[in-house]
Amino acid sequence: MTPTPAVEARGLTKRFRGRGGAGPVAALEGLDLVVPRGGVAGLLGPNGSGKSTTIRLLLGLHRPTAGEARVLGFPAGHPEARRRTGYMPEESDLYPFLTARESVETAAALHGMGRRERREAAARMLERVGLADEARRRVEGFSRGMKRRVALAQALVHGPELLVLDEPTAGLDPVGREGLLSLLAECRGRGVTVLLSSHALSDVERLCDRVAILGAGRLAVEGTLAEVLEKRGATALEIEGPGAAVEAARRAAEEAGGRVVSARPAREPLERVFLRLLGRDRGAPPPDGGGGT
Amino acid sequence: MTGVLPVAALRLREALAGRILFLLPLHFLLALAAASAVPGPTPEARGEAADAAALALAAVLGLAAAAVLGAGPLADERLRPRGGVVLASPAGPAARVLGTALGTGGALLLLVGALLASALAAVDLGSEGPPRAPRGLWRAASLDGGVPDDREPGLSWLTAAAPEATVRFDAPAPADAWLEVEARPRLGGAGMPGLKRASFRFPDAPGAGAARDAAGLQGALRVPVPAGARRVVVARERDNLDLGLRTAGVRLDVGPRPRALARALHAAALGAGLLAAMAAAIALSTVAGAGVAAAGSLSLALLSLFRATFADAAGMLAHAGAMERAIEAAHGAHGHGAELTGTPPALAPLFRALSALLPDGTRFDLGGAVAGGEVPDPGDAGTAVLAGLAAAALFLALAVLGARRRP
Repeated sequence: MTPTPAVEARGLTKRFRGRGGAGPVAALEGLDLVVPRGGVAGLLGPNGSGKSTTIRLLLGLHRPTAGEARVLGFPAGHPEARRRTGYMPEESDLYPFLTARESVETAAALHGMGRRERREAAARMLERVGLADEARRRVEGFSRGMKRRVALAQALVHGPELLVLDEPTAGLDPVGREGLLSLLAECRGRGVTVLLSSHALSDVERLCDRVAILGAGRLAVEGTLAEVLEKRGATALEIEGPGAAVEAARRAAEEAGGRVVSARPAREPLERVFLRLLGRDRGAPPPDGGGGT
Repeated sequence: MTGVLPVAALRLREALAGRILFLLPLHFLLALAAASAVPGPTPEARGEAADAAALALAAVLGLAAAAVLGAGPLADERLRPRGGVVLASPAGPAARVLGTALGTGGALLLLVGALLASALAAVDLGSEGPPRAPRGLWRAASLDGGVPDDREPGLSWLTAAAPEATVRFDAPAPADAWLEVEARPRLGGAGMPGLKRASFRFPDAPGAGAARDAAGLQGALRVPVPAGARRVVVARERDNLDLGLRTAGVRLDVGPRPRALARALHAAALGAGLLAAMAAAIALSTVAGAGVAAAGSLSLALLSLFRATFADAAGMLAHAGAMERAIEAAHGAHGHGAELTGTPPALAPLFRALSALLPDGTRFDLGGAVAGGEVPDPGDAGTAVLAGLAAAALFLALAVLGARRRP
């Protein structure tokens, strides 16, 4: 039997009331989207394209104007869907009067976990996000990156089947970003479905199996990363060796009726250089598409 | 219902995390200033005035806190990302509203206790002199004598023809008790004295002499009562005003225990009012912004503070209407009550309509009771608590309905 998709949207539409007597503003128009279970799916798009609205509709924080969405087989916003979903909002505006441990425990309690269970889970999650030593500090004194990690711990503490992240790496420095992406890769390895929205295309390219690109509230393209990135009729080669080897390859291509469109020295991504120089490159192989071409 | 207790705990922490605690030193300073500044002819009178000022301050600050605390969390969380952890959790709208009510209400009850302690401390520090006459709760059990009023059941007039009435209490007066008598003045054929006067005798304490007291037209008559007295004979003085007495208007002011009880009753009534204001704010916050919700519920709460004014106005209208009707009945079709009473012509139809609705003898006593600063008796406090809880239940129901429409 085919498992229920993690997320399924049909004709999902959201129009907000315009301000000052203006007509309704369409934030999302007729979105059809299927995110299968397992793996990481990315929602891409410029500002105002409807990414956050889509996420809020899937979580039941907005009611759709038209269409419907199902999350883990339940209508969006259904308590059971929420129980199995972890959510990390775009801004980690945590309750400033709580400590990191209390923040995570509160999230666990809201998901119905018992006192002992949530204490253990909170300690475990803070350890995983690297905040075990800061557990007793109030979050109001935390840096943005630390707050993001607390928010991630909140989203993960109850062991969700689906993790929904709104711009998870926004505002993080490369080290924080690397840590967060590694954690998400780990989640994927444990079978958690991850749906994230992001502006950071390199993150999406590195982490996601599927992407959906939104523009002006409409779905522009959706599919696996390979399908979306594939350039029809073209193949990229990466050659390691002297210039003569590159020249030989060019000639071979032309003799076979092909054409070399471009040839340039392969470059390492700046982020990788940055992390290597800081000694923070954990050497975790990028899950997908990390190699140069 | 998943999430009620975590939301309540969150709200309690939120409320106590500085959003209301500043009210305590503020209240203490204001109450101390008021207690130091209130005038009064005797230390007892000063103490009572200071008490009233401190309690009124507590009520105003508490109601403001209830409105702001109730309106804040839910409205704020819809706008700020911090709400994500609550709004996206399995805790549904009903759990969020109920948890908010429980947590914020708990914080408010703590605030009420702290405000009353602050009032006690401020009044004790601010008013000097001998111990103040405490507010008592012992009301007279019966009142015999005088001339019963035709229109108002329970009201008896001490007139020149029947100048005395005997008041009985269920228990003998303890030591250091005071008798407080609210007497309505009425011109009794003599000139127009500016003070109402009365003398008091105590048949159960033959050794004690008669006592006399005078008060302004709105003030209460107060005399010390010998220990053991169960009956008091109140007498109108010659060439002075007729005095209208009610059983409920004659009280014994006694020692500290009733004072503590009175404060507890005040706390109960205040708490009920705060909960109602908070619940109104929560309800409004599910359909409006925090500012609108706070302003709306604060307005409701402040209106309730001015209930004495409304009650007085209603009482005045009823009196005026009844008076006109009586005049017109006495003069037949030729009498024009509005002209005789000086009622503005524009208001005359309103008075007539009101008097037609009300039975003879109708009078609103609430205004007098509140203006007189009466301590609520257990029945009053119980009514206030029940009314507050009923209002809270209504508001919460509305809030749940509103929250269902808006996540």
